[in-house]
Amino acid sequence: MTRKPLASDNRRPDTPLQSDTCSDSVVRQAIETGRTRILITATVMTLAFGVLGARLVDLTVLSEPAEPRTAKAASEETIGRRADIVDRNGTLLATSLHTVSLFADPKRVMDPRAAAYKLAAILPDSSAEWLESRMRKPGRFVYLHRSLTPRQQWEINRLGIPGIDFSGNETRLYPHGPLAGHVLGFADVDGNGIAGIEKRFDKTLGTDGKSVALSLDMRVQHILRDELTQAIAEFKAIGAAGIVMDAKSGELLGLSSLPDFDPNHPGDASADARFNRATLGVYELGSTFKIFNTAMAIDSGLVTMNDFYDASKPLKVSRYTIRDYHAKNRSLSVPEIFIYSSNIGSAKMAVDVGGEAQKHFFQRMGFLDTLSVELPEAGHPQSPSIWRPINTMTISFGHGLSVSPLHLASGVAAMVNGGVLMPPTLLKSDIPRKGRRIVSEATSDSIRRLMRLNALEGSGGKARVSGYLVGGKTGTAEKVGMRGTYKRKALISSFVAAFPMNDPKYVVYIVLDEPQGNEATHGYATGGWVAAPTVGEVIRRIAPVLGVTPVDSEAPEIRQQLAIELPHAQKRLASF
Amino acid sequence: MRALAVMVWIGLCAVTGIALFHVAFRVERLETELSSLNKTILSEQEALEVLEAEWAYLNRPDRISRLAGKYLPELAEADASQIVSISEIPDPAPFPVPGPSASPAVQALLAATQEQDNGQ
Repeated sequence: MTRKPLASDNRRPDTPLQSDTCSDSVVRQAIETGRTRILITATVMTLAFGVLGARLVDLTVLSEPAEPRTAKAASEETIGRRADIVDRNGTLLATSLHTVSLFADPKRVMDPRAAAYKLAAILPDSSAEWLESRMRKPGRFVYLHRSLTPRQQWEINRLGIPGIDFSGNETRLYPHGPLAGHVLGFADVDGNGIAGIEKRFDKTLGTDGKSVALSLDMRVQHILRDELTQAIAEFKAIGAAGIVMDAKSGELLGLSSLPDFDPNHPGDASADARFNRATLGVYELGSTFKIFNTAMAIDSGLVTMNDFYDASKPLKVSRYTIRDYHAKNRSLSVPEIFIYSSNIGSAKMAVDVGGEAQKHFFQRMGFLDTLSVELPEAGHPQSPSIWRPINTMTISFGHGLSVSPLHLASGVAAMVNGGVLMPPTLLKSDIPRKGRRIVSEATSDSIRRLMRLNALEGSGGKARVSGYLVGGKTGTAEKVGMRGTYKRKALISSFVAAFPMNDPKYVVYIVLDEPQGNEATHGYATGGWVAAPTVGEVIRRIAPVLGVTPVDSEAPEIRQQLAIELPHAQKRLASF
Repeated sequence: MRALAVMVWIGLCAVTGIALFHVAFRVERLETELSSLNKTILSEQEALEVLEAEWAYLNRPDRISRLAGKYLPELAEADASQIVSISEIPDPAPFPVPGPSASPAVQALLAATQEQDNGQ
């Protein structure tokens, strides 16, 4: 086969093809095709590798030059822990601790009796019989003990019993014990809220684990509970409730109901101890309602502080007779009706205002609706289905309308803080809350003067504390007995106070359930004798803690702020 | 020439390989360290939780008041008469003028301070 240069071959396309030139051109063509294919493949490969290389540079150098800084591993495992509950100062009220539980796989335990005796020696609160019966149960998983101490865990581990194992879980712990038991409520062993804040904020605490800051102040709470405990012991009461509330924001600094329970061991508590008297219990709270009655009457414009009412004889309405406890048997001015706690005068004032207006007033105060507070244990008031004139009269002095003590405390806060009702809250609020106006500033000012006057000259004298301008109102109501009649000896004695009275910051309310009079009280068990001193003691102890500046009650500007002038009676009532 | 190129490539491959293994081992070591650190963090967090609970338990107001009554019997609760506002306190005594006993250094310092105050 002759070899000719390619160029010459190309230059003669019209030459008749010889057999060898023909094969030669086929070969050349094949080579050409091959070359083109190689070129294409090479181009594609180069491009592909180029892309890969570029991407490699992009990934390693350009987009994320450093290792992503994650601290995931540490936080991931802590998710699922139930969040803490703290008070307004950050004191821990409820927390979850990781603990170790002991469980058995009954199928793998070979000698339950021997194992039970060995374990019982380490676990002092479980008997061998009980452990053995647990390990003889069918199934593959039984709990033997929850929350082992590290030492118990180590000792059980050392026994090396097959079929016995540990599992990590968490235990809810309430370091303060019963101190705020009614507010906190409790959670069950699986971390589900069963009562109180634990139930109300079950979702918040459980899923995303955000801690809840309460409005409570544990120092105030302690003082409140301490004084309530002493009052119960002194007057042999069957129970008590106490409330300390910020008059302006509606935040609850203390809320206690006795008897109470330790949320660490809720199962040991009786039903009575688990009953929250401050929020769930509804009672006829007696004369403390005269604060609302007087405010309503003055705010309506129909009654003024200078009006007089005849309280010389008991008021007969159909088959009822309304009497005065401290009867004066004469005409009484509105301030006198308040400080002598005249039922007759109050009833007449309420009649002047009218039943419809009274019902509307209590409606706006929330006294006819379930208590609005962040607790599942919120009491529903008992109000008359038909608001008859007799109801209007009795409600004016606190009978015939049962509300929870917290209803009353928030109502009193509204009466003294300038007339704005703040729904009570157990959550710490940093932003100012919105309330709704119930009475005018001027009415609120009159109520402040009346409450101060009552502490100076009326039934609230025992609540006075030097340095703090305390004002308040007593309330004594007979409890409704079994057959709907009032029990003479079973009283609900209470005292509600606010301080400092010229610009109230806090409202303190104490209710004693069935107190008994003693020698010191000359046998009286009324609000002025049993609840007022307790309120005074609470205020004396919490005022410095809360940073309330003491004032001289004799200072002329203070006297002027709280004085009441009576033009008709020649005498000046507000002598200090 | 060709042999040299081959040598260079082999050398490069070897260096890359060694570097790769070096990095891989270091990463492994760091990962072990990281996981042990995470474990430590977790156990420290648990210890913190326990300590916080214990702190709250030991600071129960009833316990503090019991201990205060036992060990600080002279300590009484604050009384309203003990609290006064700052305006009720009489003016504090004027700044003492350093007498001749003050060392020259102190006197110079005071003079300088006074000048500075006057200058402002």
